[in-house]
Amino acid sequence: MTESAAVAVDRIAHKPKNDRPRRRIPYAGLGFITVFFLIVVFGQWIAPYDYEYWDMENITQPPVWMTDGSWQHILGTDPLGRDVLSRIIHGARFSLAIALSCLIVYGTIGIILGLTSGFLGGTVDMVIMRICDLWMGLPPIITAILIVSVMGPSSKAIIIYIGISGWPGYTRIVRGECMSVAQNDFIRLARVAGCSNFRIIASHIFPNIVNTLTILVTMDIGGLIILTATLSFLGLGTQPPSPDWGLMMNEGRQYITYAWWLVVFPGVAILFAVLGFNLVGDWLRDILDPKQKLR
Amino acid sequence: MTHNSQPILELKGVKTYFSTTKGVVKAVDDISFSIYHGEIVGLVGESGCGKSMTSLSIMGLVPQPAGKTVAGQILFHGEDLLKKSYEQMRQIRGNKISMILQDPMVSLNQILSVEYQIGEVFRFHDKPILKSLREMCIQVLKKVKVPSPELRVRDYPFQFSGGMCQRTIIGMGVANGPDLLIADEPTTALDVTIQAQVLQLMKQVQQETDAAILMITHDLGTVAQLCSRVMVMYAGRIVEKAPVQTFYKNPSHPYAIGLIKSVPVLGRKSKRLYSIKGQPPNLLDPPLGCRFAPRCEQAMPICREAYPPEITLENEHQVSCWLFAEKGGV
Repeated sequence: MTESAAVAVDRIAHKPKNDRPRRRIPYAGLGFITVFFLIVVFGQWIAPYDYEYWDMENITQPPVWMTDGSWQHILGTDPLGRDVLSRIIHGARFSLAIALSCLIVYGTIGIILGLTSGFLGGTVDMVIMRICDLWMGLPPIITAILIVSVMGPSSKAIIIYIGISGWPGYTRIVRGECMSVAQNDFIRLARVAGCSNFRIIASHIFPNIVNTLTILVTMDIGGLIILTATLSFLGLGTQPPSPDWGLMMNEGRQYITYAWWLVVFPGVAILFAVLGFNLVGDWLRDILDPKQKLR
Repeated sequence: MTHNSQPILELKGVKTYFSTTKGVVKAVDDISFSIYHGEIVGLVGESGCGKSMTSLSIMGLVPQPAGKTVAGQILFHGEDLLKKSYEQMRQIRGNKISMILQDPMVSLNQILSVEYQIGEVFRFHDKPILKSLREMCIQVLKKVKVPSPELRVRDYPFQFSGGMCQRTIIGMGVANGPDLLIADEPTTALDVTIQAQVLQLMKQVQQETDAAILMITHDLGTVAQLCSRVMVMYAGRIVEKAPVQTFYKNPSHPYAIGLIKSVPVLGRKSKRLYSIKGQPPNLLDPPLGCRFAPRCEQAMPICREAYPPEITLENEHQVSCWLFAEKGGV
């Protein structure tokens, strides 16, 4: 083997490292999400009590490490004697279910409108985009109150409100992505092959924007958990006795001076769930977004 | 060489305009030509002169809604394509008329397998599927000499080299036995060595399938190698049409002469490569008369006033230039 060949082999064996320092895997974020999903799936077996179980002998009991606390109710109980830990565990499922329902509703609307708008362009595009602008101008809380006052407060009302108000963001992003993908020659060639518009959108454009959608969805779930909790906290959403985290904070609010655990623990639950989704979302964006790789 | 038969494709006074905020861009302005069965016709011209728009007009794929073919007739087997419905055009595209695009690496969807994309050509044209679809895809790859097609058919385009992608696209283009294949600069994005292979493949495929090819290029070498006739386009109009031999021996339009002069010749040590002075005109506001007049060394007063008629010099050699009108053409 000549010297230069040896150098070449050496170079192949030690591939030049990517200049850009790779973002580290967010173990903490993944951990939070994993715990969150485990609780969502197995919650009813993990939780020590049912979320509606009243332990009338131990009302407003503080957490285990405080005086008067007991291992019976690790995170304490509320004034009705309901176990805070059990309610938080059951609440995870509620929060995720509501967040996902909202996401499915407005995601579907947003993606369909975005693809239509980006692909067809012209007048259709202009009309959809102006509706988007209009929609984004609606004051959120007031609209929420309006819908709730018509429908009555319930989780369904929140889902409908967020579902019909959240789509413009998706539409804009999907439209942009769709337009840039549609510029490619393979779209032209697909037309030459005789594909219909629908098929081009469904099998050539959509798969190309899935990366972006994955990032969007992950980043959004965190925000949605906060938003639904906020609406429930304001009394617009989930009604008692559901163990929604926002609702639990609302109910605990009046006892905050002497039973802080009623507000703090649901808050901590929201914090870690959202933090988890945001950390993972950031990481996904860094590894999936081709535009970032170019830098 | 005369053609007794009816042309496969005949363009009559086709105009494709784009309306922009700055005004109307006349990308293709009054173009007429014919293509006959089994011949390869070259369409040459510099970037932005309307070559690609001509091909997209034929395919009915002019970017909507800004662009539109506003006038003329595109006769394919005597039927006007401009009057066809969307669904009828969809049946013709990829079936009777096919297309190959410039950059093979972006002509295939990177995230769908090659098999899937070749399959689309068959799926939408009610072709009888004799064997399995995969079998048909393998046949396509075999025809264009992609090595070990049985294995590669399941690959994704990014696993193919540029040349392989372009060959695959050629295979897709001729898979349904089209009557006309439009090749829009098929070799521009390829290595020189691969270029020769691809051109050879095209010629071979053309002989096998007997399709007519409209070869769009700015490479005069490609034209000399492949085509039987040449059309030179300048600023949205065709300025000269001629059989290849005539064109190289006796180019007539000053622009065509300039084009041929500006090709470097191996072995000749000239001081400096010839270049045509000036810039191509802005198609938003083209010159009133001959569009080449501002750059033409032999321009006469009339050149700036009226567009020259198409003058037949000899058999099949036509030129749009006032120089020849004077010499008693018309």
